[in-house]
Amino acid sequence: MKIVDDGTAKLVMHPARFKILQCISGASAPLFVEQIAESVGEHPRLVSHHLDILQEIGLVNCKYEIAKAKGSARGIAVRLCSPTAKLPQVLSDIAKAVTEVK
Amino acid sequence: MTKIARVKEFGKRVYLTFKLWLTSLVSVLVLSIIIGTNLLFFLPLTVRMALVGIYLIVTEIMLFPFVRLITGSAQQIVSSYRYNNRHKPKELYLPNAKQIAEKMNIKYDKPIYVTDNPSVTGPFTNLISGKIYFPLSEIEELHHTENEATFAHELAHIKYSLRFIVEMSLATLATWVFATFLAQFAINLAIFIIAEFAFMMLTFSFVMRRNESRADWAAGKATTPEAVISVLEYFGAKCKVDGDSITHPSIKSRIKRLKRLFDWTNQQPND
Repeated sequence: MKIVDDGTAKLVMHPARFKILQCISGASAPLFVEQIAESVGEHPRLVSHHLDILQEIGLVNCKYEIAKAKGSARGIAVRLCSPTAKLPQVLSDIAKAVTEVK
Repeated sequence: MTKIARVKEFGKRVYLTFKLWLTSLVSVLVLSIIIGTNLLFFLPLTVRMALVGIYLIVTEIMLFPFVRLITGSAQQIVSSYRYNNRHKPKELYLPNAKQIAEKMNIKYDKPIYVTDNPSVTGPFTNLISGKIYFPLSEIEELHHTENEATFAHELAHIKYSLRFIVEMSLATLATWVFATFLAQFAINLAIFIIAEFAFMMLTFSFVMRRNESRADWAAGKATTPEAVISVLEYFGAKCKVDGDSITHPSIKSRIKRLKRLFDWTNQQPND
């Protein structure tokens, strides 16, 4: 299995990263870091760290946008995260591998 | 690991624990003879003090491995040593190792040693040789930034090794002072042994847990606290325990402490 050979599976199997991936893949629209953090119960900075890794291995797309915020006329830069086309395949491969092991 | 191997491993651990219990007991008996009884009344004070000095060194040597053994670390080191005689650990240079070492104000130009020994479940440092060992699984399963954070943690142990040795010696000295105080009362020897042992465990545990917190803090500062926390979460999930032991604080409290680094302050843990 490719995801096992290239090390993707091992990196994804980190508990926090796996939760983040599930959260992103289940969302209908791109999510902010704060939204993901709230959903998975982690600190936003930790989520950012995991997102960097997931982006590096090509499972998550991140882009920065300016969002309106209270008390800021110019708005604030937020990181919007969405799944890549590779993600559903990776998640299903992992589920398959886990079932085989069981 | 097969069932037979597990039983063997357990037996070996029980045997080693028993053996070290015996040496510990002998050590306490020696102490009680030196200071608690008048069996050595014919010896001049200087000789008795020299014996006390020897006892201090002996307890340091004997009791420390005993504590390590209870936590499994000594068994891990012994097992690793035996395994490594057959399977040499592979040398690996982490890409940013030099920069991390420079950031921590420590000279370290050695590689790290990666072992596939199944009984090595976490990274550890041999303070005598100054070598850092990593299990292969961790190198493979964690991102390089997280491996660098672990490396920084181990490097901190090397950096603070002298401080650690001094603190351990002070803990031993405190145990000895406590034992001397206890020996002034005509109490049962069994109570004496238990009380001394309990005191020793408390002081040693305090020093060792403090040492871990210090290493976490230094690693978080040298790399990023996020990476250190991520490694801790990984170990927590992998071992399915909170990691609270004599030598290590619980993973939960370590993470909580490291989160303080998010709001950057220069305070040291426990300071």
